Amino acid sequence: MADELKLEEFGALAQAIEAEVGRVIVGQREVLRSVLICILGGRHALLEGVPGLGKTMLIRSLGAALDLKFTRIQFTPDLMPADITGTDIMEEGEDGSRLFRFHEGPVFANLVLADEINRATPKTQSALLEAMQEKTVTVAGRSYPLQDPFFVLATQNPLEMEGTYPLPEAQLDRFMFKVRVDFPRPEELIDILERTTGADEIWPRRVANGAQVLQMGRLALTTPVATHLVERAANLILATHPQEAQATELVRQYVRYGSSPRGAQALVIGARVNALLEGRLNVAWEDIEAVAPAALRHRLLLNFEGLAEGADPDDIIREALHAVSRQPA
Amino acid sequence: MASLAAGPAGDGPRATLTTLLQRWERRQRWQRTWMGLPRSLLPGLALGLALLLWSRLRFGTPAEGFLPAMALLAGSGLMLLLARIWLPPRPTLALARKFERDFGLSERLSTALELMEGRIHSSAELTPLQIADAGNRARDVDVTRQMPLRSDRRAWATLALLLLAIGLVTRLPAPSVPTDEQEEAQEAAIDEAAAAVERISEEVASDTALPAELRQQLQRELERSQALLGQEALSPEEAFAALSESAEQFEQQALALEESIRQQMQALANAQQAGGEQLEAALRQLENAGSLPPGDDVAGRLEQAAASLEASNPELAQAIREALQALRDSQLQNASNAAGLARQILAQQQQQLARAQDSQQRLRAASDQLRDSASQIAQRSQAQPLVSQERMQQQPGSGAQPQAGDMSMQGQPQESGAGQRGENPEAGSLPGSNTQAGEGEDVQAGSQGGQPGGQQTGQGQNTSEQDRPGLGGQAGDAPGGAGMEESFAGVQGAPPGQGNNPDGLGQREFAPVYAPRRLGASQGPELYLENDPGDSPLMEGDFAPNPSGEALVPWNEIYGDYLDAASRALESDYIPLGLRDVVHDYFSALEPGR
Repeated sequence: MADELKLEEFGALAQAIEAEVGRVIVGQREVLRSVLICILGGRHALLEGVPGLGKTMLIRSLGAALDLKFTRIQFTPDLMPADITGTDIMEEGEDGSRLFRFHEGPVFANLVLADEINRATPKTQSALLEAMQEKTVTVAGRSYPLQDPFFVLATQNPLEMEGTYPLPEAQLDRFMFKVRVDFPRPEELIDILERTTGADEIWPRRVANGAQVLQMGRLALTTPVATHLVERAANLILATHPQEAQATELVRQYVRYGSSPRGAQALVIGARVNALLEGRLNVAWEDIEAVAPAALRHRLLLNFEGLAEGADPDDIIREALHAVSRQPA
Repeated sequence: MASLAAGPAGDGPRATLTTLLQRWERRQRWQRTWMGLPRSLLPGLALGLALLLWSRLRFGTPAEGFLPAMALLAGSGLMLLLARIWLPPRPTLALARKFERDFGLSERLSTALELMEGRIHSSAELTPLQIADAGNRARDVDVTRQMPLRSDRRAWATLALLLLAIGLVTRLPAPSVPTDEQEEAQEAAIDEAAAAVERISEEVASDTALPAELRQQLQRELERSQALLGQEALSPEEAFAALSESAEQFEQQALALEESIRQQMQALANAQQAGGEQLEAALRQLENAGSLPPGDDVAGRLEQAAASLEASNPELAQAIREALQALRDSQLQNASNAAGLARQILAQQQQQLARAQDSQQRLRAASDQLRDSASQIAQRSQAQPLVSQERMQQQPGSGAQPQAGDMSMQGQPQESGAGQRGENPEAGSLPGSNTQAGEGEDVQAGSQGGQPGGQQTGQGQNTSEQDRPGLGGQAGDAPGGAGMEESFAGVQGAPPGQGNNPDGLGQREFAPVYAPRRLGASQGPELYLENDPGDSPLMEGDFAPNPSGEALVPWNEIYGDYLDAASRALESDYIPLGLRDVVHDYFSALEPGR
């Protein structure tokens, strides 16, 4: 293992990454921070937003700044699992012998952009499951390890739902964060126009590499968390379950099933990384508050009433956060 | 991104953090103590005040006896506060979690403590940095700014008010609550009154000069009072009322008897005047010599005397006529006999009148005695002098005899004015009032005789009242009947030994005002208005001696002053609530031009 990253280097690298991507992506600081937290936490992120908000550009810029091997998969209904994972192709040798040779798919990269992931069929979507969780690809009985670091950053359009295949809960749960990409503010929109409509094309410089990303992640995950904060995180997860005593009013009304333990992991991991990115040497409650919506919003299964009334999971999470924060230390 | 640079953890970072936390905790305990101090004292003091009030009102307990108990109650509250704040121990980690939340330290302290205790782990690089960072941040906390010693102003103000109330209550005189000695004194006064009533009853029964009907009526009244005074658990107010009522009854009967005597004496005087003031001498000579004395038409004058006596003493008139007829018929013996009979009848009438006067005086004395007994009961029912009484007693020239102020306002006929010195410039100067300015120094503000046309004319020395302190001779100046009633002058005078202060003892400067409830009545209680020195005077103008009895100031000029005085009285407690409308209507009716 390479030499451990110093704390000062972590801060400098994080600042450099955010600054470099920020040269290309106007605004969207919170989106960038969330994606960076996922990358440093070694997890995957799902970006949700209407087309044209720079989701793909953000991920491409991040790949360029981190000097990671970047691939992009445009998910369509006719996309097949082999189109993602790769497949064995029969080749004929010089001696005329024939053999199957595995041709790696686009998943074999450090940073995989699964664009409009909900347009592919569930079978194809599930092809990513093993890659995301096990970081291996199994084809024809043989497993192929993926490169480290490996991140899947998927996007989906929340509006055009016709002809789409919503991600199954199991796959959603494998995304550490579900990041909402909002429409830029007016001044940001003007800045976008100024930067992107000229002849000059701005592209981020490389400020880090895969190894450094891994080192940053390892350092971030050592950020200490006080026990009572871990207890509060657990209470927060329990508060999203309507059958639990800690459940809030909105949870009881609109939630069919709450967050999984993987959500609690995402919460604490995200808080650890966020604390260090904030320059704090320990996790604070505000770190949990900062990452909770992204970590939990896709893990709440709304009931019929919640779906019918268009309940916003973020409101439910905010109420749960408020309830937990009032619990005695 | 904030700087991640932090110095290495110093020596004993745990001790440093612990010391800081303990210092903060002490500060916070002081803060809570200071904040809760007034609130901790309030319940005890409030309870003490309530008990003090209840005890003083119920039993008249001295306030000094309650102060230690009140201090104990307040001290108990304080001890509870101190115990609640200072006794419970709090673990260091709990302190850290609390203060890092209060001071915005973002869980630095608890994380550092847990790292030091080994409860959580981090990298070798981060751990000392985090602990040092926590220590630095903790040292940067300005605890005096974060935890200022605020005071609960509302609670302090409430405490101050409570202490002020306690101070006032302790300084106020104890209300009149009868003690055992006072109750004994009251019972003794009632017993004395009962004995006095019995004595008066015996006197009335043996007074043959009284008409039988009147005697029976008075005896019934006295029996009623005796029965009432003999009741168990009789309150002083009831005894006072009964005696006052009896005294009033005696007073009225004395007045009625006085009127009867006056009429008879008037008739006799008329007869003597008609008979040339020699009626008795003429009758004596006729009896002895069988002839009339020489003079101008003596027989005619005797005839006129007989005519004037026809109504009051027909027997005497008849005897005179028979004597004259016998004389005309030259029946000298018969004339002599008839004249002797007439003279005998005349002498009997004079004796009867004298006895009737004695009875009338005895009735008045009995009335005074009943009033004295009532006053004694009233005095002894007062546990302690009220503030007003104390204040009034301090005024110079206070009356000779204390009087229960509360009872005097109960509609009892407490006639004030007796004992008032003649220095009162208002005496006899009120328009429409019967000014009774005696020849002596004593002058009574004679509001009672305010009815125009009073019959007390002439200068009369009230011989029957001479033994009453402060009640001088009364010389009524109101026009009216002929003034022969020397013996009866001043019968409407006030009882002895009372000041003019309706609230109790002593004299005060008052302006007499007719009590509305006396409208249409011959006499009754009077209301007195206290002069307001800061306001315009109640009376204006030149109030020189006014022998003619006519008002020197037109009514419409002083009506406003009277109205002001009445308004002030209406706003005060001098006039009972139920009578205020009557007073208002009375003065409204007096408005000039209506």
